[in-house]
Amino acid sequence: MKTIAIVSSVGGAGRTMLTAALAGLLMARRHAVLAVECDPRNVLTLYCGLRTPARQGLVSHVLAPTDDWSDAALQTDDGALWLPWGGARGEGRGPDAEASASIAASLHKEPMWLRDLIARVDLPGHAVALVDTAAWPSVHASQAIAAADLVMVVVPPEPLACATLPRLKSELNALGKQAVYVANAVSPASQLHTDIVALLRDTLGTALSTYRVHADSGIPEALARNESFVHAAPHSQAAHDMQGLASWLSSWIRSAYQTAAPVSGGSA
Amino acid sequence: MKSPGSVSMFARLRHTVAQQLGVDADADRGAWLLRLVFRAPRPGQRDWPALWAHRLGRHLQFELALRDDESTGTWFKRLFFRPRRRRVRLAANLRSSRHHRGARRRSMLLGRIGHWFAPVTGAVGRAGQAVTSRLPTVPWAGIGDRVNHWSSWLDRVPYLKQVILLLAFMVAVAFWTTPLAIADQFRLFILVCVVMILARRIPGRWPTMLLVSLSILMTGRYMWWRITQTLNFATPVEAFFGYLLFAAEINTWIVLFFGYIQTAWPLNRQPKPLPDAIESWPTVDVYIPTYNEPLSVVSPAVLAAKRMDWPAEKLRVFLLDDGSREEFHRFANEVGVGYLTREEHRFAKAGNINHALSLTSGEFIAIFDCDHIPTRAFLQTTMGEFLADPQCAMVQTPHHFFSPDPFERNYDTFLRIPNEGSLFYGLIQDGNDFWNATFFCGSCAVIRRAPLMEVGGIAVETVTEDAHTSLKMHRKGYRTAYLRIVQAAGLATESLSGHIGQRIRWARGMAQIFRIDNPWLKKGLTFFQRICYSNAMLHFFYGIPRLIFLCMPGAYLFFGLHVFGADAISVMAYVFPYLFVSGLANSRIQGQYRHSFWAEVYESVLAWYTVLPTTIAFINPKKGKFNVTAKGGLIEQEYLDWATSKPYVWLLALNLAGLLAGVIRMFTTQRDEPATVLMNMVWSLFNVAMLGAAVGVAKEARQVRVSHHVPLRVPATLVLTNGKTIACNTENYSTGGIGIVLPEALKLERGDPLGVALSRGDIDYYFPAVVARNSGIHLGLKFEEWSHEKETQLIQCTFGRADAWVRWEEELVPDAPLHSFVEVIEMGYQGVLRLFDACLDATEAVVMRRPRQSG
Repeated sequence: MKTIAIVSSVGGAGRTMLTAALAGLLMARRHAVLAVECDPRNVLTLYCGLRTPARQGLVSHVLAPTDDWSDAALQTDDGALWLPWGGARGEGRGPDAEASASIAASLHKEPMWLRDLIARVDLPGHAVALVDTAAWPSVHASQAIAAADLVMVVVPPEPLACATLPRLKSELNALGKQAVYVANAVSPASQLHTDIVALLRDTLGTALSTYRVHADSGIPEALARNESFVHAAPHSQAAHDMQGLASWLSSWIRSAYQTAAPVSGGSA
Repeated sequence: MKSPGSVSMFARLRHTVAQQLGVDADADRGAWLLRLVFRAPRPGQRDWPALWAHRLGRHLQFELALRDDESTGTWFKRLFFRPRRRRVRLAANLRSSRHHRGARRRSMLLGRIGHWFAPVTGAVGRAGQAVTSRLPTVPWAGIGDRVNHWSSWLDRVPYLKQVILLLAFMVAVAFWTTPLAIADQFRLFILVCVVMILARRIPGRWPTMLLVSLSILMTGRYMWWRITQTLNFATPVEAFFGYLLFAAEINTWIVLFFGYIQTAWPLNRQPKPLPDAIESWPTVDVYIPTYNEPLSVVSPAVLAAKRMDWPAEKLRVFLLDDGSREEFHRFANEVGVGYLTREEHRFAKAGNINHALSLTSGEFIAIFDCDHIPTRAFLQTTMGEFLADPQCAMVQTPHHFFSPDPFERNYDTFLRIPNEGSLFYGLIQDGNDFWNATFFCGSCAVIRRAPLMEVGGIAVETVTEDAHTSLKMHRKGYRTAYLRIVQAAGLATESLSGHIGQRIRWARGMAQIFRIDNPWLKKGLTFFQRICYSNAMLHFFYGIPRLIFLCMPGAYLFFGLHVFGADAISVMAYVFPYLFVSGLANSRIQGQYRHSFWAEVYESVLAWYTVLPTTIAFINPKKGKFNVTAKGGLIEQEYLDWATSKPYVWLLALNLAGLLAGVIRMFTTQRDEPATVLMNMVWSLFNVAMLGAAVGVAKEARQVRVSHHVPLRVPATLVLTNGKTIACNTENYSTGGIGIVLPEALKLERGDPLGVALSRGDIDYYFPAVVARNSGIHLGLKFEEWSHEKETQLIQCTFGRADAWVRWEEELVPDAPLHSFVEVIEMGYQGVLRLFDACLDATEAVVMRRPRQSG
């Protein structure tokens, strides 16, 4: 099982959207996929068709480690497994403040908790776990990074993302994690976006993926309609970009299975 | 006027009769007629007569093509006269039939015949497959490798090469001159054929050499026989025509042998790397000479040249405007390139460049025709050669055309059959390079200034200044190089007349060089350089021999002259082996660059037109004037270019009449030698096919849009106003606009704004545009805020990409001689049909006094 953490240094970068889209696209490339949500927002399952936030999930294991948490995973038509954060209660409420604090504290205490948990999952073939997290820095993101074989950093072409990126980059370097940076929601019409992408290429070099995902208003529309964006708008440039990204990840996963040694480069 | 009494009387009578017959009094004629013959049905029964009469009426109406409310008179007239129908065209529309042919690119005729015999061929094919799958496969590639291994081993033995060559020559002489009985000659032919067909399958260069050697052996044998056995004529007239034919044949032999030498070992040179120290890179001046071309044609070349990858301070672009146009001066200033013009317009392009040479100072000169758009990598690909070899004076790259030339357009062979230039740039120049005899071709080349100045600049004595200049540089002992890597592309000539005009210029110029600066006469060239240059020149003298071959069967069919002093069996025993073996050898050498039999088509079209210029230039090199190749134009309606095709129509008529005469001859006067008649008729029939193809090319297919719409396929992104994106591909490009192929149709109106993004490597370039046309998945966009900067960006994302033309060799289709033969015959057949159609059109136009219909 290879683990890919999808992180970003700002909110609203499109992590959950990319996780959900890549789960489907990697399934189509004959990988067994487990999408894990390590994010107390508990929204991943909204992308796979659920109307309400999940009650069961990772959080069940934090609260009661002896429970059989494997029941919490959902499966979509294409065969992908989805493990949400869970913890939702009636009337749209989540865990109360006290519970949340104790969850965070226990995550902080056991930094390898998620890694061990994923290691216990056994899926056939070139399986992959995609871990969606909260914005970094947070205990949740740290758990995901610790669990990851490859960290996919989603970078929206915004000034704030550029400003916070160096810290994340040096953190990943210090941890010795292989990282690939993906620019998301890039609009070619915007001069600012073009300039920021040029800046990113300058600072990141080959670690910046050549697959930049274009901005497309169809993405939130597809979520609102409860559709998969890639299936709803297969001819859109954004869908093409995600296909390219998925192909790159797929070949990364295959080569990672073949060679125990780390594979070079984050470029496509 | 009738009285009321008589009217009521008639009405009453009518009423009574109607009651008797059982019809309504006010029923129509048909019903009355029916009831006169058939009784009305009993109540509760179906009225069968009425039903049948109705159906019959409908059927007649349909057959006579009548409308519902036609009068009786019209009905009557139609029974005897057919309505005017639009005449059906006999010639197929090749463009639409291509879609039926499908992706396999098969010939139409072959496809159709194959369809008829599908059950048989299918069964045979399956049986063959079943048998071959059980047989052990022959490792052809392995054999090729082993041959290479042996040859490199043999190469190390000293003096072996010379000994082998000497022995080979002795064997060849014996082979050529040994007389054989007819039966043995046939056996020899079969043996050679078997060897060739086996050798064809082995990849590599040595098997090619084997094929060439066998071809030389068989040709030599044929030549010996031809000279010693067939030059006996009964009358002086026969002798005259006989020697004429013999002379034409000698020309083909020389061209054949020279061609074998020229293309013996294509060098396939690779680019040399440039040094890492950019400071050591030399300065380059880029010349873009123009005379009368519109700015829209010139500007992409200038903008692309300016953006080539080279240190900015070492690259200067100059627009050499011989038209002294204010618009061009302004454009040059706006985009920041040099503008050079001159007072006196002597020596056309050569004079223009020489004038510029005196005003600039770069160490190297890159020359592009004004419509050749270079890629960004052009200089980095070519300049390494100069730095590696200080004696290298010129590097030439291929001329590539992204639009179809008249042959390709009118016969729809674009990207399916290699065009006329493929052979030259794919093979001949590469072969020349081995002998250090690469010619300068006037564009897409870099020249070192010093040697160029040493020979007095670009040659001005002839109209093919390019080849002449490189000839002069070779005489001084400089080397030239050819890189078979497409690094620039341009527009092909638009119409057949323009295409012919260009070839006439080349032919005239080559004849001029042959006369005033013959490669054999002056010192400085190696033996093989002389051969390469003279073959290039001799090539353009094909006009007269070709015309002789096209007319010669008539000598026998009309007048009964025996121009070939041999009986039919001997001809079969010697001529066919020679033609077959050299055809097979050439197919192997030229392969994907020129399909078998297409040379005959191309030459047949140009033969008539090159005869006079080459002859005149040969007699008096000063005669004749320079003509500029016309670029850009619009063919609004399909038409047959009568003026261009006239000579071929006559030749075609001659051969068709010859066929008729042959049939008559066979059954009347020449009953004793049917084989000879038949052979001449087959020859004539072959000529008809070639000439048919030549005439068919003159039928100019309609060009839907202005010529500067150049085909171009790169990925693009559409950004709609609602924020959605579409991944699509570009289809073509024009100044200020672009054609897009969508993955699925979109609801867009004319004038709707949207954006299109093209990428160059990692960088997206965004172009705001409006919809100019929208039909199905084809979308035409017009750019807004068009500026030189935007155009530069667009060219960088399209033509300027280093990989823009890398795939051109992959697109070439390998030669299959038999298939190619069928294809050429089919083109000839279609050409004759097109001529027939055009004749009917013309007759109709004269008789009916109506403008010609466009098909």
